[in-house]
Amino acid sequence: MKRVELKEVRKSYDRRTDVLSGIDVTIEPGEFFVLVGPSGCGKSTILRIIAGLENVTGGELRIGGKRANHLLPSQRDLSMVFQNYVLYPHLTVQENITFGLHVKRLSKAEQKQRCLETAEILGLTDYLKRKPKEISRGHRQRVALARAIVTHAPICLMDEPLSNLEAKLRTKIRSEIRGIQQKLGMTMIYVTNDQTEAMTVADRLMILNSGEVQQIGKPLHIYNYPVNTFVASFIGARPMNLIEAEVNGSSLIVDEWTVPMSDMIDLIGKRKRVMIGVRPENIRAARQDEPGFDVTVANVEVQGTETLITFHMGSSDQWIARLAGQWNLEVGKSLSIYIEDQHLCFFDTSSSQRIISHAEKLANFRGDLSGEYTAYRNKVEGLEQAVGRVNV
Amino acid sequence: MYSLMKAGFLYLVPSFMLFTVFLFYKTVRTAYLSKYITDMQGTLATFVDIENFTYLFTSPAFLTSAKATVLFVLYTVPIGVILALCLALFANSKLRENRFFRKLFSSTIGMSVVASSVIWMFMYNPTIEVINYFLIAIGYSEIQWLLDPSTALIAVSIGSIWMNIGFCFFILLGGLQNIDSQLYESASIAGVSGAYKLRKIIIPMLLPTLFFVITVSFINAFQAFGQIEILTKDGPIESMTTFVDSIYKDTFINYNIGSESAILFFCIFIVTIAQFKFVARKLYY
Ligand SMILES: Nc1ncnc2c1ncn2[C@@H]1O[C@H](COP(=O)(O)OP(=O)(O)OP(=O)(O)O)[C@@H](O)[C@H]1O
Ligand SMILES: [Mg+2]
Repeated sequence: MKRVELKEVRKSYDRRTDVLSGIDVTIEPGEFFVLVGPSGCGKSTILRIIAGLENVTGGELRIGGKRANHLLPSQRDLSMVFQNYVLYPHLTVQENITFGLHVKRLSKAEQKQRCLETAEILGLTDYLKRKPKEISRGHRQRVALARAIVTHAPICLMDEPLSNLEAKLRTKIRSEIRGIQQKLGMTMIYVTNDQTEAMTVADRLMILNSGEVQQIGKPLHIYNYPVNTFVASFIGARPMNLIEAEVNGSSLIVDEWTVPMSDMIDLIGKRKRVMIGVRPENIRAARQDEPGFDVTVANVEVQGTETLITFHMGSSDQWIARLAGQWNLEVGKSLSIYIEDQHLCFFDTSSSQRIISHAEKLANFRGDLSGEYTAYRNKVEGLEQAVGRVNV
Repeated sequence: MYSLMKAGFLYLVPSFMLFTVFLFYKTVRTAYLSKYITDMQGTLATFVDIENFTYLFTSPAFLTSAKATVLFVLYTVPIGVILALCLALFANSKLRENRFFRKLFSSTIGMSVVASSVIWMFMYNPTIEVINYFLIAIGYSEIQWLLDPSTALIAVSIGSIWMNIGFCFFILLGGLQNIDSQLYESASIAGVSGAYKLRKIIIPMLLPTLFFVITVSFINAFQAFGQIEILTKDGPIESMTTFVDSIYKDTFINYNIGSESAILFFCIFIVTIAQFKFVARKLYY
């Protein structure tokens, strides 16, 4: 178990444009940390920097409390699953899995033992004697996983390790990886561009966009309190519905839809325009006594336990509502929807940042404080133990 | 379906014809010629069955030229290929990733045998003495490289290695660059030593390329003629006469096509056996 810290890490391949611009994050020992973001945002680059396969252009990388900027990959005591993994084509599956284990001073018998254990977990036992080209892509991907797990390294880096597997297998292996990680207490840094995967396995996740950190936090916290419109639309099976509204006295106006503001008015302040956001599941059909808003249904997807309804909001924006149960609506018919005030999010139109209430700020501040307090306590306890050991 | 197959065969005809004329006929004709003695005009005189072969294996001239050829191949092929591999590994390493070394090491490809032989002739030349100059500078006595029977073969081998190395380097570098860099990267994360990497990854993955380079080097060494002819002008003694050299002399100076064919047939036979042996081994993963 080791901590990985990135401080103001910058990276540029061509010395002109920054691929990473100042990444600041601390990954705690034993944590399952997920990096997520759209293609080309720099996820693989971060992993390669941590692994020592790329140099940083600026900033500091610390592994296990020690500066690691100039350590060789092998000195960092980690394992890695590459994106588009490549296996040694001339070695069997077993030889591929145990490749390099002799460096860790493991005897032949121990190597074999570990290889069998890992193969068992990943369902590769029957394929150990085969060459990579004689097994399916899915199995090859598992061999790549096995290679990383078998080393029992305290830090494990995985770059989209499940991208070649079918959905069902993905879910299964994902939970297996999670299990192994917890059992061995590895610090896992896991890259994916699938937000569902990110939400389900992560202790914490970091959302990146074009080389900049958007938000770091627990999955649910990020889901409930996205810091900006990018995070709001990236996280969630369906993106958050967004639309720009005009502030008119004490109400917000979106085309024909008028939202009377009550407590939100302080939040919005002196802004003339504001972005409204609503999660699809927070839109529901209006009851008889509620002042609903009529929309025209553009598409209906009935999915057993829920129904996804697409409709147009304003002139061009498509919104999605996720209604519980099965709704047999016809396309073109109108539906009266209702959104509770508490479910509305507001974003600044120019900065795209979410407008945060004072109460939330205070809560966040308390959270930060408690985090710092915990860190402080840990430090004190560590010192006390050390002092105790010295005394004895 | 039938017409499609007919068309398919039609497409194969040119290649079959070329194959028949230039390979099949040649080999059969060589085998046929090897059983005859020829007169001074090169026409077939008498059928002698295997006498040409028995004559060959008892002829001291053939045996010395066989020895010279084998020595020449042994001096040039392994050293040449290993040197070329070292240069390719060096030029392919991340640190030296620049064009300079690649250009430098492969620069001999474009040179003709005659041109490079002339360069080496100057290097060894007793009156110009490029090499002897250095030898004397570091305190050795002068050597008559190309005249002394004990050094002539080595001198020619050094020149031949130099001529061949550019091509071997070029092909091996291509082979190295075909190995996915991820394999090196994951080996460097595992922390295995350079020698282990070479033994377990690079060499096995480079085997098809190495095989090709070795085969071509063998062929080149067996066919080495220009540089031997130019550098030694028949050589100090017969110790410098290799197969091709003796074939040349037998055919065009002594007009002895029969025994020449026997040598040629013998060579082709050996190389073919060697190739079958190699291909039978699992070279390709
Ligand atoms: N070796 C390289 N040389 C130059 N530019 C590179 C190199 N590797 C990556 N880049 C650039 O850096 C940016 C980030 O790449 P990176 O591979 O880290 O993205 P990613 O988030 O992993 O994307 P994906 O999800 O597609 O794997 C991209 O714009 C890419 O073009
Ligand atoms: Mg990537």
